[in-house]
Order: sequence, then structure tokens, then C-alpha cells
Amino acid sequence: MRVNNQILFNQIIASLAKKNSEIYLAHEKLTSLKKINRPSDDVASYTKATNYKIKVNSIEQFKRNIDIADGMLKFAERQLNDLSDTWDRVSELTVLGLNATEDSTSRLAIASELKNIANFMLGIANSKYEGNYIFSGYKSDQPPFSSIDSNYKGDSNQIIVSIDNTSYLGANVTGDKLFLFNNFPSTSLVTEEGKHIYYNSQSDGSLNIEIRDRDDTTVIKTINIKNVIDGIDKLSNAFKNNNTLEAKAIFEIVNFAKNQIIVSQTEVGAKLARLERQYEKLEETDLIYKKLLSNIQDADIAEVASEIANIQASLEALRLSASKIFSQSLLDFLR
Amino acid sequence: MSILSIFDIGKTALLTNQTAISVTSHNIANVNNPDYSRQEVILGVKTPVKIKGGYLGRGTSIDAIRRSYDKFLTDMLFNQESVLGRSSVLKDIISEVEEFFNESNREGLNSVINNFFNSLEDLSVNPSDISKRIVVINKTLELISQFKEMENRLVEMGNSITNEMSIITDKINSISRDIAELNKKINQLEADGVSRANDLRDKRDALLKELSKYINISYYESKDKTFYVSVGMRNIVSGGNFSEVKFLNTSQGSVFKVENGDITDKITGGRISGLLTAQNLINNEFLYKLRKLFGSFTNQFNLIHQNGYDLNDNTGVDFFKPLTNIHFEEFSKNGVITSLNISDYSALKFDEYYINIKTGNVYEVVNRYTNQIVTSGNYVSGGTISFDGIDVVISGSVTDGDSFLISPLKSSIKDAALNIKAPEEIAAASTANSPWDNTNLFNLINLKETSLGALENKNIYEFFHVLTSRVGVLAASANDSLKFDETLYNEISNRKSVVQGVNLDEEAVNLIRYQRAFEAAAKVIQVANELYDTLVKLV
Repeated sequence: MRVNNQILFNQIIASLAKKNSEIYLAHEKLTSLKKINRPSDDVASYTKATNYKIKVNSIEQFKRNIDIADGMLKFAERQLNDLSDTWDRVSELTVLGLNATEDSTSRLAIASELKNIANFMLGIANSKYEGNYIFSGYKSDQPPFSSIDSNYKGDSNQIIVSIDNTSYLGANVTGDKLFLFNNFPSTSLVTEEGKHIYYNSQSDGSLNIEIRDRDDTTVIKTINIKNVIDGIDKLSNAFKNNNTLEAKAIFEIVNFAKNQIIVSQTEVGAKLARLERQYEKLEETDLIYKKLLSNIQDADIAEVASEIANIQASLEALRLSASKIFSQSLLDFLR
Repeated sequence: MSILSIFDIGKTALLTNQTAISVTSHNIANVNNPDYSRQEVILGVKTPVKIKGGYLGRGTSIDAIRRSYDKFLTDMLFNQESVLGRSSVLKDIISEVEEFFNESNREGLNSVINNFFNSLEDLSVNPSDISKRIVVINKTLELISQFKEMENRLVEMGNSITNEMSIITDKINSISRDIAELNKKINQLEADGVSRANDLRDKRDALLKELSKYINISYYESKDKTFYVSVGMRNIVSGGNFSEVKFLNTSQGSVFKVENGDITDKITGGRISGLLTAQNLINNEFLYKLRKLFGSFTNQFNLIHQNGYDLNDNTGVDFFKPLTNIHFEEFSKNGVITSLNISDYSALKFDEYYINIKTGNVYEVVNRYTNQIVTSGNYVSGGTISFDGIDVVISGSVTDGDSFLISPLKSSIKDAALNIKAPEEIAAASTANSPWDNTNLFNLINLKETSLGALENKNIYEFFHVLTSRVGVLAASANDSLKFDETLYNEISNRKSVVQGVNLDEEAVNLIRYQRAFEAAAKVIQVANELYDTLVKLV
């Protein structure tokens, strides 16, 4: 091969350019700490990395959702605990009031406390979380009960929060499950005095209590209780009027209402536990995806550093040989 | 036979070696000119004279000054120059497009789509929260502007490609003018039939090489020394004459013509070929898919949004501004589109269609990208042609070959805007009068996982990933082929240089060689002179 000056020059320039671009790419890896800096570096891995990023992103979103659902449910849980405690007190007071040894004065005191309790409970039923009435279902702009003896204004819908790609969780408790009589069994009972009492739950969630005389036909009184709070109010009135028969008839709802609270408490407790487990699970998955992502896209610094050292060494060798070649010519020796 | 003839022989030797030294100097002077072909002196012997006892030499002469030239290698180099021109353009453009889509180290479309859905998720846990609704609005505006920016960048890139095409066309024309001029000069200089215009031929080769970089050419020299250069089977240079290449930027794409003959399809090499391919990729693939993605996504989003109720209990409202402006072009003498409407948004596919008129007054609606027939029928002036949710009315007499372009795609990003005016108008609920109802939000959020028919049965993420991967694959292969083509080019260039290049050591040796010969020739003349003197002194 007839090597001439241009071939020599071109070759050295091309080699220098090649080494320089190699060192540039290695340096890019070192500064970004990533081995994939654009799709064409490795299309398959780039797509995988993007998918992992989306997964990590959605996990973060689910964790945020869980935080919010957790807040809502914990708020509801506190209200339920208060309700449960209050029902205990109602139960205590009623048992006390029904005691034959009590007189009308003490019953008046019981009536007054029950009245306070009814108002307190209305406050709980109409409590707001971040501007929404939490026991109203979707109708969060309306209080579930405008007054003690009003019908339920909310609905039975669950506020769905997504906590996983496929799982959802209702983050609220609706008032109908706590304060209405939809699930009250239609029963009747006979009192010690031989009076018949009939319980009939209505389609609007209220409860009709019919008190009949011994003959089981003469209706002494029909009481319509709109909701359980109304029940406490009516109980209070019965004690105020020293009417133990009515009080006894209404007393039946106390255990029912308390049980409803306990069912919801259990449900909320289970949901909170599930959220906690789900959060832990998400954090584990998050870690796995982040690790996979790192495996795909992160550069091994030691490897890149030694790569740079390698290129540098060959670049120096190239410069040295170039300077030797260029400094010599036959013309130097023709004196 | 006289002593004087020795002077003559000496003189031929002196002059010949002097010329050889000139040629050597010329070589040395051009050592760094890549287009230069090494020249050498071809020595001959002067016709001898007959004397008693045989023939006596009369000295030396120069038969020719020849350039070292390999036609095969030169052809290969020009060819490779075209290949390299094409692949270097493709690499430059696709690498730039790749940067638009690259989200390794910064936020892009992917993250904007993510942020948008995240804001909806955040709203879903408290759908009546106005501040969260405002976040959704902001994220939507970001989404729209990011898509617009992306479209804009691609459109700008397409514009700069068109500009470069027009600049290159001018360059091609100015080079062919120069070649035609050179042809005239070469013909004049070589008119004696013996001399070779070495340096002008080198110059012409340099121009041909530059021309090859822009467009793939073929060339030949006929027996009567007329030099032709042609592009796509059409001569752009014939001897001293040249024809201009014309560049037309039409709505259907770029067209190149020579003397009214369309050569676009025959351009397979050179920068222009790379630009044509890149332009095709940008317009018919990247922009097409981007617009399709955004159009299909927003349209589907609207359809779901319409089902929901907002905080003011309104329903049936579009979230994004719905597509109303359908782009169309008419390629017909008498037929005009008198009405163009969307009849069914849920059937919209965001494609481009040609309504082609065939013989027998039959129309055919063809998908521009897949070439599949969408529908067909008998043409009636003023009749409605319906396909994929679009109603078109064409009036007037049409003839065979007429065509109408209908594109619901073209302005899908350009006209994009938010339709709702206030944050309260986000329809989160599926039932009226339910501020905490988030079920419609879930329907909207689920859209990110839904495979859409208009998006080749992929969800929006998958569709976008396929597009990004495609750009990545194209960029990787453009990189690889550029590397390969460069190596091959250098290889051929070196091989050509082996034949044509100047080696200074070699020239130094020649310099000494001819100098010594020159000195010897001078000595011959000195000897002849002394012989002459000797004779003169005898007298």
C-alpha cells in the first residue's frame, strides 16, 4: 500500500475524533449517572424504564390516596367512638329512668340530659371533614339531618378511593347505616303490664312504634321516630312526661342503634387495617420497581470511571504516535 | 553527426528534468489538497538518427504529464458520498427528534400526561374541593401546551427541512452551471487531442463530489468528449449546457423536477434524499401519531365527561374544546365541498381520508395512511357521504381522477383548548346534586388504561411508548448506518488517496533524482562545450 501524507493525516484525525466522541459519551454517563440517556441508547430498556417510572408514579399516587382515605376513615372512627360512648350513656340513663324506684323529678333530670345528648349526637351526625359532611354520602354539601326530627338528607353511596390498580375502598360511612331504622326487624313484644308493642320500619328509614292495650287491638299510641337521634329526643320527652311505658317502648332502639355503630366501627377498623397493609405492600412494590429502574438505567460509576481512564490512555498513546509521525520527513535528512 | 548535437541532447535533458522538477514542485504544493491527483512526467525518447553502425539517440522528451487517476474508485467515492450525505442528514434530524421525545433526564409528554391523571386522582378523593379542581385545570393547560410545543417543534423542523431543500436546490444548480463552464474550458484545452487538462479535471471531479453529497448523480463522457451529468434519468449538464432542478413545496409533499419531469422518486441518495425521508417520517408518522393520540384522547375524554354532572348540576358539557374545524383540500375542477360536519363524535377516528372519484361516477373513501377503502358508493351531486362519524357533501360535476382530502387530524392539536370556563364545571359526579360523587372521575381516570380503537387498540401510554420506541429505533439505526457509511467512505477515500495522493518522501526523492539528472545534463553541456573549445583552439 502506497501510504501518503493525506492518509496519515486523515487516519489520525479520524482516530482522534473517535476517541473524543467516546470520551464525551462516557462523560455524559458519568455526569447524568445514567447509562441510558436517550431512547436510541437502548430502545428496549428505555421503554422498560418508562414503564417502571409510570408504575412508580402510580404507586406514589396510590400512597397519596391511601393517606387521604386514612384521614377520612380515622375521622369517622373518632366520631363513631364518640357515638358509641354516647349510646352507652343513653343506655345507662334509660335503664336508670325505667327503674321503678325513680321519681318524676329524677326522671326530669334524665330527660334533660337525654335532650343534651340528642343535640350532641346531631352535631356528630352533621360533622364536616375538609368542608364535606362525611355522613351524607355523595350529598356532601347537605347535613344528613337538618334537625333532630328530620328525614335523612344524604344517600348510601360510598366515596370510592383507588388504592391499587384493581382495588377500591369506600372511605366513608353513610348516615343511613348509623342513624336510620332500615334494618330494624319488624317485631312485637308484650310488656310486664301486658301491653303489646309493635315495631315497623318504614321505607324512609323511620320507625313506627305502635302501643296497643292488653286486648292487642286498641291502639293507645303510635310514635313515628324519624331517626335514632329523634328516638333519644322522644325518649327524653317520655321521661319528661314520666311515661315509662313509652320510654320502655322506645328503649328497644338503643341496643339496635348501638349495634349499628359497632358494626360500622368494625368495618372502619378493618378498612384502616387494610389501608395500612396496602401501604406497606405499595412501599415494597415501590422499592422493587425503583431497584429494577436503577438496574436498567443507572450507570456503574466505577465502570464508567475505568472506561474513561481506558479511553484517556489510548488517546494519549495516539497523540504521542501522531507527534512522532508528523515530526519526521525525508526532507529533514537531506542537508 | 556534430558536436552541436551533444548540446541538443544536453538541452533536452536539462529542459525535461526542469519540467519534472516543476511537476514535482506542483505535487508538493498540492500535498494538502484532497481533490488533487498526483501528476507525473512520462518520459519518452526522441526519435534517433541513422548513422553508420546504427541509430543514435537524440535525447529525451516529455510524452505526457499524467495524473494518477482511478475511474472506478472515483465513481465509488461519489456514490458513497451520496450514501453518506443521506445518512448524515437522517442522523442529524432523527437525533434531534429523539431529543423531543427523550425523557431520560427531563420531563416530557409522558410526565405531563401522568401529572394530568394524578390531579384527577387527587380530586377524586375530594371532588368538591375547588383548589383541587383548579389544579386539574392547570395540569390540563400544561398538557395542552406541551402537546402544542411538541407539534410546533416537529412542524418547525419540517419547515427547516423545506428551507434546506430549497437552499440545496440552489447549490445544485450553481454547481451544474460551474460544471458546464468547466466542460467548455476542458474541451478548449484538450482540443489538440493529446493534452489533458489535469487540474481542471480535478476541479470538475471536486464539483461532482460536492454534487454527489447533495443528490445521487450519474455521469459519463461520450466519444465526442461531451460530458453529461444526470439526476433521475434526466440530464442536468450536457457539455456546456445545464438544466435547472426545480423544487416545489406542495401540500402533498416535496417535489423535485428537471425540465418538468418529476424525479422525486428517483432521488435515492444525497442530502436531499435524507431530507425527503426525514420529512416523510415527521409529517406522515410522528406528527400523524401525535395528533391522532391527542385527538383521540381528548375526544374520548369529552364523551365520558359529557355523561357526568358538575358542581352546578350541569351535564353534557365537553371538557376539551371539541373538534369542529375539519381541514380539507379539493383537487377537482368543478366539484366543491359544500358542507363538512361531524355527525357522531364517538365514531371519529382521527385519520386522513381521500375521497377519490372513479369511472362511472363512483366515489371511494380511502384512508390516506393505510390505503384501505373506508366506504364507497355512487356519486350524487349534493348527496351526503358519511364515514367514521363525518358527513361530507360534495356538489358539482366531478370527473374521473378528482380527489378530495378530508383531515379531522390536522388541527387536532393546533385548535386544542379547554372548553370548560370554571373549575366547578369539571363533571366529577355521575348523578346530579351529589358533590362528593366521584364515579365519573373514575371513568375519566380509567381512560388511561382503556384501549382505544382509534389508537390501534392501545391505551394512550402504550401508543405513546410505541411512538417513542419507534423514534429510538430509527435514531439507533440512523446512528449505526452513519457509522458504517463513514467507515466505508473513509476506506474508499483512502484507497483513492493511495492512487492519487501525494507522498512528500516520494516527492523529496524525485526532487533529488531530477536535480542530479539536471546537474548531469549540465555536465554534458559543459563537456560538449569543452570539446567544442578544443576544436576551436585547433584552428
